[in-house]
Amino acid sequence: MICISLLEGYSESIQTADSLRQNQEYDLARLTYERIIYSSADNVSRTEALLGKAQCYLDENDFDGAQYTVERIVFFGLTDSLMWEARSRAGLAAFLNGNFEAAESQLLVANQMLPDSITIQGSPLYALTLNELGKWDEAKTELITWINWRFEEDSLIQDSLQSMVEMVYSEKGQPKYRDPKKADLWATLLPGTGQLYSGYFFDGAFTALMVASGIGVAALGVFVVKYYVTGLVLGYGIYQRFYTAGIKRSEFLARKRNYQRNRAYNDCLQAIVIDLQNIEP
Amino acid sequence: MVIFDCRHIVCSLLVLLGLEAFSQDVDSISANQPLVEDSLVQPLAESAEAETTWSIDSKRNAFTKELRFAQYLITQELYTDADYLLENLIYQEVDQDQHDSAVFYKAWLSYFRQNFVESLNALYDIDSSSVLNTEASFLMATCFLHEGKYDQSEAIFNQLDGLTENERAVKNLNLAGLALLARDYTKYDSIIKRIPETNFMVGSELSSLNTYKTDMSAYKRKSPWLAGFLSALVPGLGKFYVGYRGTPFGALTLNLPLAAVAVETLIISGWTGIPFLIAAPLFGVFYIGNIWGSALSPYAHEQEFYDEMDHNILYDLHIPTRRVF
Repeated sequence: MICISLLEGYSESIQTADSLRQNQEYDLARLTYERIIYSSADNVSRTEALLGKAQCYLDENDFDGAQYTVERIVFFGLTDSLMWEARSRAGLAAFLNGNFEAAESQLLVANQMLPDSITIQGSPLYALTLNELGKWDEAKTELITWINWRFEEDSLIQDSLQSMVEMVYSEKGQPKYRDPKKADLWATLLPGTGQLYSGYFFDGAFTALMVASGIGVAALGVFVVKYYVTGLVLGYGIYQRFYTAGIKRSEFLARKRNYQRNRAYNDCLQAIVIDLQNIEP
Repeated sequence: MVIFDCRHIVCSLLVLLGLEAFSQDVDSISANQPLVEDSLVQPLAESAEAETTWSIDSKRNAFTKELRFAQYLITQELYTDADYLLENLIYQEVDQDQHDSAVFYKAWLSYFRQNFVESLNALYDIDSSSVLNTEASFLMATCFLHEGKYDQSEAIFNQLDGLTENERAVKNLNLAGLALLARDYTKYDSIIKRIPETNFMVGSELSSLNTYKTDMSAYKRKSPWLAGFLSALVPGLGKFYVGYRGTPFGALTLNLPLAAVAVETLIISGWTGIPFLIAAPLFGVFYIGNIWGSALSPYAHEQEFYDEMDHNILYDLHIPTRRVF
């Protein structure tokens, strides 16, 4: 099979590559798409082949490969539908690769350049991307527009879904962030309070205890057993270690808490958006 | 007659599809057929031969196109695709030259991926009479160089002859680099005389090698004894003398407080007091460790210096080799 197709390479078409991809022969499918990219003179078939190749990577969960492939697309001389397919696939690859800024940029350009009747299909993906970037108000607007388009013939569903979206995106439900700089400041002023501010009580209590121990050891050495140098060296050693570590940890914990809250909220929104897509009009 | 003709058409098609083994069977079958009159067979045989030649040519052309495609994949840094293509091309039934070309590309690919052993294994597969022999030998010598097998690399470079001016310059640059890696500065000086300074292929790398040579020949390892002695006087001072700038302060801030504790426990509890018996060995361990570490630091510093130089030399040798081939 391989021998034949390799030496017959130049007569291969996108259909052959597509069927290889459908048969999960991804190595050969990617090579066939690449051969089309290499040999084709027009940008349309080149773009189609690049999209097919990117799909191979997506099928294999290789999001890096998919993003690298779609980034090779030249958005010139393409029809609106192909342009949309290319931009949305590029956005999807970037989104799956965790590169949300790139995903937003691809979808934003598509929204600006192409008619709404085409780009409206990509609103859920755009909303998911905006969620990840913390732009919840824009995501809400995007989703509401999409609901109005998708369920335009059924105003009852439209209204109920709209109110649901309004509710989940309400300011009350949005995550409250901890400021890492404030956590840093608290930890500098009073050891342990930085972690407490970030929401980690035991972490803060442990730091406060160890810092107090350092002071205690120094006081014990100086005032009780009269080993002045030993007391100060040991006490300062313990104090200094836990004091500076506490400051760094407070900042880290504030960021960790923010990430966790963000993730939990966005995971919930993601599930809702996916459910919305599955509702038949 | 008709049967004979058809068989050769099938044979041609099989060759075209890359299934030569079957076509050979067909040939051997036809050889066993009873001979027909020569006058009738001759023109048909000639036409069949021409057809087979055409099909081989077409296969050769297809293979050449595939090699160009492989080259394109490598240029686009699509190494996985290139690897897959070449892996399959190598096992095609083609002539030795084409097989060698595919193997050579595969070796280059492994070289780009810094898998030198795999590259060497591929290069061993290239026929010694191949037109690619010079390039293959160059690449093989470079792979040995990166594998740290300097003797083998030098032997291959020395065997290379019949080179163009640029290739000769790159070869001599590599030999000069090998001399530097072996710290043989006299040999280095004699080799670089053979490289024209104006050669654009190696010009900038040659000047870099000269800088490395000057730095290396000027480098003198600091005295371990002196470093140890200085650290005994002031913890960390020996490492500072060797050339380190950060670690000496670490040694100082650790040893001084421990020394202060040991002295205080000696004053308060005396030689036999338990606090002193705890503090003194603790300080002793860190103090002796500091002296020992400082005494060894000139060797470590020297190793780091030469490792960095070797890395730079290998990098500078790699670029002209890529440029010339």
